[in-house]
Amino acid sequence: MWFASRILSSLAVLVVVSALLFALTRLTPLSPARIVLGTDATVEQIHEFERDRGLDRSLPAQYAAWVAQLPRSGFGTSYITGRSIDVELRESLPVTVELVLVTFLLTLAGAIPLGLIAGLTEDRWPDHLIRVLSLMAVSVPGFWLALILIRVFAVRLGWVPPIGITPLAEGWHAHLASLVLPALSIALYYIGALSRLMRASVIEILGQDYVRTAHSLGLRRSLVARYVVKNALPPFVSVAGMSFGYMFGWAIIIELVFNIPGLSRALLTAITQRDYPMIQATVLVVTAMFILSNLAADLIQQLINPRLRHA
Amino acid sequence: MTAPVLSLNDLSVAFGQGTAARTVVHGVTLQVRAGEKLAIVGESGSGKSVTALAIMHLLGRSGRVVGGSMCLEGEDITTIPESACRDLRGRRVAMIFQDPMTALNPAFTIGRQLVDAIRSHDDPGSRAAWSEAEQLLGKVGIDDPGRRSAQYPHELSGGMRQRVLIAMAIACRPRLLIADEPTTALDVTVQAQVVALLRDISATFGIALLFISHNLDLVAEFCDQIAVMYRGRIVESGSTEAIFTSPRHPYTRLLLDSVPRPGRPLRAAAPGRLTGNRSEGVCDFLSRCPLADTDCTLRPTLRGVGAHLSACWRSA
Amino acid sequence: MLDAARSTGSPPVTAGAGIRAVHRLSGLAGPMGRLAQTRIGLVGLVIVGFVVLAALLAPWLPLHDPLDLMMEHRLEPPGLSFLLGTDEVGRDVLARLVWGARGSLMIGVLTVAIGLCGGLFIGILSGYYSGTLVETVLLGLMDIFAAIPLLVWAIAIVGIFGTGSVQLGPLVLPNEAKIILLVGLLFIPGLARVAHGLALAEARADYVAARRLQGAGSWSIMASDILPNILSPIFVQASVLIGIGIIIEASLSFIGLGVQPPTPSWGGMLADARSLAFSDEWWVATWPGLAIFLTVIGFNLVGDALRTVLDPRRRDGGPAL
Repeated sequence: MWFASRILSSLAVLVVVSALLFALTRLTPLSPARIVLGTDATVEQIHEFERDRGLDRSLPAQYAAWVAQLPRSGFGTSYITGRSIDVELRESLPVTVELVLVTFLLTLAGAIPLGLIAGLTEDRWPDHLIRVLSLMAVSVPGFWLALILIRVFAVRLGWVPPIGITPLAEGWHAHLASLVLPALSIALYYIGALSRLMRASVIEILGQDYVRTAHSLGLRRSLVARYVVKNALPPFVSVAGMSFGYMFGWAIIIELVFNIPGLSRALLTAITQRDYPMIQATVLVVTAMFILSNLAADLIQQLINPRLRHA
Repeated sequence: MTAPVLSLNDLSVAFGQGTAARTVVHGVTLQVRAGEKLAIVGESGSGKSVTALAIMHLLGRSGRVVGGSMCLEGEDITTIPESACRDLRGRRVAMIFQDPMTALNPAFTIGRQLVDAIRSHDDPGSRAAWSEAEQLLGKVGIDDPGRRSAQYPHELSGGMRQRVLIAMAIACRPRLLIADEPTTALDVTVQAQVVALLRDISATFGIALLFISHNLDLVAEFCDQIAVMYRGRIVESGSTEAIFTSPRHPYTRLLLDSVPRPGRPLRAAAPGRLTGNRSEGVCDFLSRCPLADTDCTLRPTLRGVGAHLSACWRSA
Repeated sequence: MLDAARSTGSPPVTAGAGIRAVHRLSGLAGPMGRLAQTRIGLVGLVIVGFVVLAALLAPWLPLHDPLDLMMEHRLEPPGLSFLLGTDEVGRDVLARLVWGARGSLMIGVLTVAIGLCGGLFIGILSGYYSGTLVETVLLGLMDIFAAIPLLVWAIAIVGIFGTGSVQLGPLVLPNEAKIILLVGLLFIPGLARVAHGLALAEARADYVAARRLQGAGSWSIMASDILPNILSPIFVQASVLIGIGIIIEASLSFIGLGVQPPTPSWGGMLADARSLAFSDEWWVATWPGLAIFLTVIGFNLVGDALRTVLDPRRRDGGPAL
């Protein structure tokens, strides 16, 4: 029951947010008709364009019509390029999703062990070192980091290509190698932030009575460590889920630096062309991803936290 | 008479380093024999819990033993390496803490935690450990152990959790069980049940019991010996009967008087508070003592008075 | 800001003797003094102070004109005449850096100011009226706003409305003002959730009940009792968000949607220097990035130190972006 209500509320949020987004794209200072038809278009031509696309109707009516046609014809076609927005997204979305997934895995692989080590060695040198590094990681602007990484690892050392993603056809090895720098540019901030969170949880848990109980029973250190991890995980999962959603935002910036043909290119091109349906579709997809990852995090948390499960 | 399971000789414990160091336990000497039940009684801050943690080697990073020695079954355990501590804890000494609500790991079932405790010394294997766990739950008076062992701590009542903690503590048959205010956080009716359980366990398994409490009534009910602590020192010790019938130290008398009884006016345990500055060499109880005299500017040591020991010049 | 639900753990309120709780933050003087005593706090304050000073004093500093195109001095390496070198069109990098600090700081601080005003107002109101319709509606609203990925929406909205000035009734909003409003609005839900948790704990404290018995009005209790008592943990959050605001501004400027050229901005300078990352003219892309990096570190250090000074038991929050 909890699952159903949680999913329903996520859906409701998505509906409201998409309506908000829809309204924003209709509040533009410039009519799409003017953009498409140019400055010489007559008033009649403009009216005809708006009537054809239903732009003369009220905002709620337009939104209802837009939602109604979603299952049938998807996001429709772009006013500017005339191409199907769905096709465009089908090309660009997987690129970004792959980048974000690699980023996410990199983040987990970095943040969990670092946070654990820092928490378990509180106020000794590994902790101090990790804290300094994580402070730097959360303070560095990702796109600048990207420029530095390109300079060092691609231009100077030549280990990886400076821009673009090597297609999978050229071997998964080369493909993954080309993903490392952009993924790292995004991941560093999250490794810093999540390892700090993990460290704080571990320290809090180490001070709990049940850890003292475990020690008083002579439990192995590895077993005590497992006690700590199991309890530190639930809060970590919810923040990690949120981070996964946020990573799409950074991907927009980092893809630009690395010239990766993902959502970034779709969105930024749409912005320069004032292609409002395209902007709307891209942002909606990212927002849906964000809501979905939060939902997933909540569900996972429900599964691993016994107190929630039985509540 | 058998050799004591635990003997503390002139044990002192301090927290902090250098000039910030503060000694909180001063020269505590006591013995507990197999099957015997010794109570340490005192108000909060008197050093009774610290004494217990010192025995467990659980003082943490800032605390350490600064004097005296601790012997467990004749073996000196005052300074042992961290690796030996694990052998000591659970197998030879176990401890039950005050708050059963927080002392169990919320993320694991109680069966799992009990099995972990069983398997951490002389691992009998998973299957044997699980059946052992259910037996233990039965022994501490938990009905339907099979179902209970699959439950999480938050599904159990406070009394039930304390029973589980007792089961975990005796899982590896320790020689000594330390119970630090095990009933303080529980309802009065449940308190009696837990105390009865501890008495049974001590008798059945011949476990020496060190019972820490501030509740004299509770202690009187089932402990053989009592040590009264004040400001890190034992000020009076002896058999329960001797202490209750003829308390010698004025602090003990005040403690006994502070227990409400029908038909007797209630008195405060002792005027004043623990926060006063300690003057070196002076009797610690001086500022609160109704019998204080010029003799008391010199700290008294424990000496035999009748059937027991008291640290007071005036305890004739 | 993500652990709002967990941060409801009530701060220690010493209600006993007085009717009002002791305000843990009477002005900023006390904490600021203690802040300077912690090593990281001092380093953070020095960095932030240095950047603020440079930004404020920019017009009076002996600098080149940040807009002056000295084509004969294109891409000069750092040296005596141009301390940090010049860029592709011969502008002095140091001058642009100092002038760029103004935009970054202003946007960082003002976005957080908006977030604080909105977040505190909504958080305190919903915390004080917990259990009522007010709380349900406000928190529901915040849940919806929290489902918005900040950066993408900021990019899209600036993209939709264009980078030019926007006429809003009698007001003409330059692009910077739009960004401040937008990012500030998007900061509100996170801050509101934290404030809600804290206000909830305060509203249930005995001293608030006592104030009510004295006949104090709801608004007066919210403004003069609850607000001062929840400010300190909120300030910890705020100092971290300033750093994030600066990074967002730089990111938007980097993709051409933020501060518009030729006005100097750190993100814009990095955008200009993007192609130079591959060449030997390393300084053009190095300095502005370093400036952002150090400034954000400064604010994060202040936040960390504030946390230790004011609220040592509070956990670190997760990423807010």
